Amino acid sequence: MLGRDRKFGKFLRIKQAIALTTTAGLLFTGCATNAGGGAEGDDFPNEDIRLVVPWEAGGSGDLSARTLAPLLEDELGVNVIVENRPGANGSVGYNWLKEQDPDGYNMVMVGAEIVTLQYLDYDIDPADYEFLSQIISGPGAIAVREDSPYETFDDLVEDAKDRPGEVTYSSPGVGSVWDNPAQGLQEQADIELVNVPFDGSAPSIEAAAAGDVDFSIDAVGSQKAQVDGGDMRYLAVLAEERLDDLPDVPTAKELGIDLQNASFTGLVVPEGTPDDVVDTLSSAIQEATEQDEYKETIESSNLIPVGTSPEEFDEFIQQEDERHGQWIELAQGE
Amino acid sequence: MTQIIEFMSSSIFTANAMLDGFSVILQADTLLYIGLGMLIGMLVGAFPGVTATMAVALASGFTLTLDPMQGMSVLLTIYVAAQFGDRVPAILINTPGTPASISTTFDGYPLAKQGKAGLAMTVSAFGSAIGMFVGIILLAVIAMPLARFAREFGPAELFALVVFGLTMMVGVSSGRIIKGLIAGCFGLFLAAIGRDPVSGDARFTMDILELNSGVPFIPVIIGVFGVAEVLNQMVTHNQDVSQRKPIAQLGQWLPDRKTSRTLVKPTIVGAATGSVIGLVPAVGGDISGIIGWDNARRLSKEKEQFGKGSLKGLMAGDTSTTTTLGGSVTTTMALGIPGDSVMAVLIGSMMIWGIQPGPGLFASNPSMVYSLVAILAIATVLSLALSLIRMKSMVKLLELNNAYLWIIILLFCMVGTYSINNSVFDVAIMLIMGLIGLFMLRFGFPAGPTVLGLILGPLAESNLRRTLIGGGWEAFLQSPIAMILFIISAAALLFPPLREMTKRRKSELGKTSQFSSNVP
Repeated sequence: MLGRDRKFGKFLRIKQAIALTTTAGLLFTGCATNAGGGAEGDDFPNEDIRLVVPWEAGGSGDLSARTLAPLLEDELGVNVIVENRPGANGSVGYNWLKEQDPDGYNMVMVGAEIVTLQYLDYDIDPADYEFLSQIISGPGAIAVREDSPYETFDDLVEDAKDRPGEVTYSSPGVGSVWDNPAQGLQEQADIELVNVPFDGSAPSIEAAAAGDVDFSIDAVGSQKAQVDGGDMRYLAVLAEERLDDLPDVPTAKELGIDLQNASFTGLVVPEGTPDDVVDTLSSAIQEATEQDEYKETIESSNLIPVGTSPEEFDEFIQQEDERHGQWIELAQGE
Repeated sequence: MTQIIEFMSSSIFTANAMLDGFSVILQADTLLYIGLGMLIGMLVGAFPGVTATMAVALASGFTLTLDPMQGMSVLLTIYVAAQFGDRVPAILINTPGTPASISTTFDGYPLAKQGKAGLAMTVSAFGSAIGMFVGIILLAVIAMPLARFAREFGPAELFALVVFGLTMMVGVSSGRIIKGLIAGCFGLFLAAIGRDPVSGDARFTMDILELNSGVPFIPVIIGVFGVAEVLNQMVTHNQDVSQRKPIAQLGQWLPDRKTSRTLVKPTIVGAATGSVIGLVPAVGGDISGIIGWDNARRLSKEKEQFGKGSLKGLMAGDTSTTTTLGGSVTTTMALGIPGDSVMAVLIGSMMIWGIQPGPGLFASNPSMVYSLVAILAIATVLSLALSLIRMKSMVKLLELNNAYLWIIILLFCMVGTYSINNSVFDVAIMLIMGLIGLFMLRFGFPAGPTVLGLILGPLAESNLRRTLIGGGWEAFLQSPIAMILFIISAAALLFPPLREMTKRRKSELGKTSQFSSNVP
């Protein structure tokens, strides 16, 4: 019964989304009228909430938003409408949110760019947002092609020491969450690597599998298809402890290089949103991330579902800001 | 002996997998979902701006609750049907319904203007269907080895392929080479706007946030093809009253036998081009259509007809585009890297269903390939049938008074463009490009090279720079594929002028000999 309602709800939302985009297109004005100026306080929420995805439809971020939305509807009792506002590494969506009323009726999904873009001359500042909850974590790994001469992570580091500036790695793009940790690796291992940036994770990992570059540094889950298919091997994971799914792959920390990095996804509202609204939204999100439906979807994308409190997420963002800031400055100093 | 047994058992295994795979489509509900996908696909295809990518992405939110095969039926059928639907606006109003039908506008719209819209649409639909089947056969028969070949395409090879693509600028200039090259450079300039792919520095962004991700592609094609054409008609309709409403007359529907025979060669050229391009990751139907069209032009004896309403050009482009689709599905399934943007969305859905596209898929789930083949084949047949049936009614729209028609087309272009990213900025780009396109039309600058520059510019730049970072210029010398592609590119540029020269010399020789024979 519930499943059927949910299906019907999804159908309604698609219809709604089409209707919304069409009218908005006709009117040129967007559809901000129905979402602005909601009443605050005890009766929050009492109208539709908009969940903006700052990436293209169809990516893993978009998918998690569309999985989360119906669960949030169950928790909050109002419609949660997913809308894509992609462009400029997500900054189009982040900037859009800054201009909305801080009433909790507009949320944006964020990734690591929320902290990295400010170091790349974008007008983005984490201080402009209230952080609700982190919902996904994607720990990183270093992987090489199956017939690579590197049998262990040490082999890689040794070779890079012997041939400074010759060992290459692929990254999903400049300043991306997987480009930066390579800076940390170079600093900690005292080696010099060459970055070959690609346009996204899939082509970047494929380049390492095909042997166009020497290794890939990306999310474990993104590399998994190539590893399972026998085209790549993991050398090390960039996490505090070994992963449950990969008990045989050592952490970089065990191997003497204390490097950790994970991609993340979370939800934010504009700075100045009242505390009780933040708490209502965050606890609804945390409840939703506990549901099996959410966990299964995220896990089948080879990511780790989480659901943190606003305080935890805020602290996490500050740490990330510090780490990525240092790495990017290192990269720019070269 | 053992080899024979091994071969026997492996072929029995394959036969089993095929039966398993094909049986999927015998289920009534799967067929129902194919029908649903087809209706959505046809609609979004015909709506400029609403791309197959977007439709598949929106539908994927809905199909996640279905059984994987049923969900794939809906998504793949939308993809296929959009390839048929998008030809209609390309032929009738010079606006590609999705980027895949850019090459359709080259000859389709001129044909429509000559009163042969019916013929153009039929030929286009058949070309698309033939291309689909070639692509499907590719997927079914030689998916794995060919996908391995695709892996040979690293940055150096991709750059060489893109260079070959850039030589096409001469071809799509329809005889106006200098103006074509200026238009092409304008396209390359547009492509340079945005963030540097390697250093991340902003280029020509003029502090406009949206320009950080570059000039959006779809608003540009809708602008320079669709909006520019409407504006041009508005400007000129008073001057040539005699040519009013030429498109409403459809002419004949089916090509006669003699015409059909001349279409065989361009079909083969298109299918061959599409097969190769389809296997190259990240290069989709838009580029493949243009390359297929240009290859057919080069190999044709009636080059000057191409771009002015040649059925051969139309056939080659459309066949090439859809053949690419089979190749894209192949590389996506076998390598786990998306063959184009629709496939990127599909990968996302498949992972949720617990199917991991990648090298392991064909080994662990062989029947799946045949299910895909069956779904694609059924979708193609149904789309072809529906295209042929509903064409006459589609054209009714064009019997409207021109003034209404212009408004409707402009409105459609704007709504479609807005809905891509919910962005007014995109609509502004579309309108600006419409004005630039009008200027180009009035002053004889072809739009094809501009679009080609915009598509290929970023691919050329990022792959060249990746090659240089990774291996330097030697990397090109070490790659046989890249060297062959460079040689073909050079030949493509040098051959036509050389042949032109020898032709001229021959005719001059002929004249002089005639002359001398007359002199006693």
